Amino acid sequence: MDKCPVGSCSSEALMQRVALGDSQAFAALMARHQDRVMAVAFRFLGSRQEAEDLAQEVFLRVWRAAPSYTPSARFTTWLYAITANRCKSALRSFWRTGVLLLGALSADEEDQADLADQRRSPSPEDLALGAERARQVATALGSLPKTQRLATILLRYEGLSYAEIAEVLGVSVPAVESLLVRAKRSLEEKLRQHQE
Amino acid sequence: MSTPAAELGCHQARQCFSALQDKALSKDHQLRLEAHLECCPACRAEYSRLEAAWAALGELPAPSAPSALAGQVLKRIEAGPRWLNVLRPLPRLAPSVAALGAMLLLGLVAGGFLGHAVLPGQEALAESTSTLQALDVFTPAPQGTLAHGYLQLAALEGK
Repeated sequence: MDKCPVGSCSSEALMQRVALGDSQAFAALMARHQDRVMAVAFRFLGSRQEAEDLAQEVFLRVWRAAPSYTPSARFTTWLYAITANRCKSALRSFWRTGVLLLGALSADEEDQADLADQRRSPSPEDLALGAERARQVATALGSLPKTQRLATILLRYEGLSYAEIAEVLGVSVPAVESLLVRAKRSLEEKLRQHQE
Repeated sequence: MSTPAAELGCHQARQCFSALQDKALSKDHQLRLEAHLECCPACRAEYSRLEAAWAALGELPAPSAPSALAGQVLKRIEAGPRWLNVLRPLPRLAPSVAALGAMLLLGLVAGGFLGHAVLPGQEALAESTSTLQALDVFTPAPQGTLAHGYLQLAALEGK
C-alpha cells in the first residue's frame, strides 16, 4: 500500500493503515475527528466528563473495528454511527441512571453554564443570560427521546443531510423527517415554556 | 382555478415546516408552502416560533476534546493484550491462513464437544447396568419380547 503523509491522507486511507496497527495514523485520525465526537457526545449527554469518557470509548471501538472497516462508507458517517450507538447505550447504563438519581445533574448544568461563559462574555448581564439560555436549551434538548435528540444534534450542529442522518441512525429518510418534525415541535414547546 | 395557497391546508402545511426550514422540500412544494404562509397568519406565527426555537439551539456551545484524549486512548490500547495487536492485521495480510487457523480451531472445539456427547459417560454406563439387573426378574425372557431383544443387544455390546 502506498503511504501518504498522515497529514494529507484521507480519513479512509488512514483507516486502512489503522487496520494494520499503525498507531501514528490512528493518532492523526483522532486529532482530525475528536472534536466532533466530543461535541456530539456532550450535546447528547450534557456532561463534559461523560462526553470525554464516551469519546475514548468511541475511538477504542474505531481501533478495534478497523480491520472490518470497508472504505465504501464515508469515514465520518461510520464514525457518527459508532458515536450514536455509544450515546444510546450510555443512556441505558445503570450507573448513569444512578448518578442522575443522586442529583449529579446540577454539575452538568454547571458545565453548560461554564461553556456559555467561555464563548461570550461582553457583560455580566449577558453572561448570566447566555448561561441561563444555554441551560434552557440543554434541558430542552435533553428531554427529547434519544433518537430524536441524535437526529437534531446531527442536523443542527453537525450539518448532516437527512440521507446521512438516516444512514447513521439506520433508519429511512422519511423516518428522519418524522423524527425531526416531532423533535422541533417538542423543542419549541419546551423553550416557550421556559420563557413564559 | 385554485391558488397555490388553497392547495395546502394548515395541518398539511405544518407537517412540512421542518423540511422547509432544512431546505429539504422540492421547489414546487416549497413554493406552495410559502404561498400558504403568505396568506395564513396562524401558520406564519407557528413557523416563526419554530424558527426561533431552532435558532436558540445555536446557543448551546460544546467543549473541544481535551488535548490528552489521544494519549489516553493510545495508552488504553497499549495496556490491552499485546498478542491481540500482533494478530490484528493477520486477516488482511494472510486471509487464507487466518481462515484455515480459525476453521482448525473450530473443528477441534466441535470435535471435542461432539465426541464427549456421543461416547457414553459414567452416568450412561450406570444406567445400563441397573436396567440389566432389573431385567433379571424376567430371565429367561420369552423370545420376541422387548426384554429378550434388550438382553441380546446388551450381550452383543458386551462382546
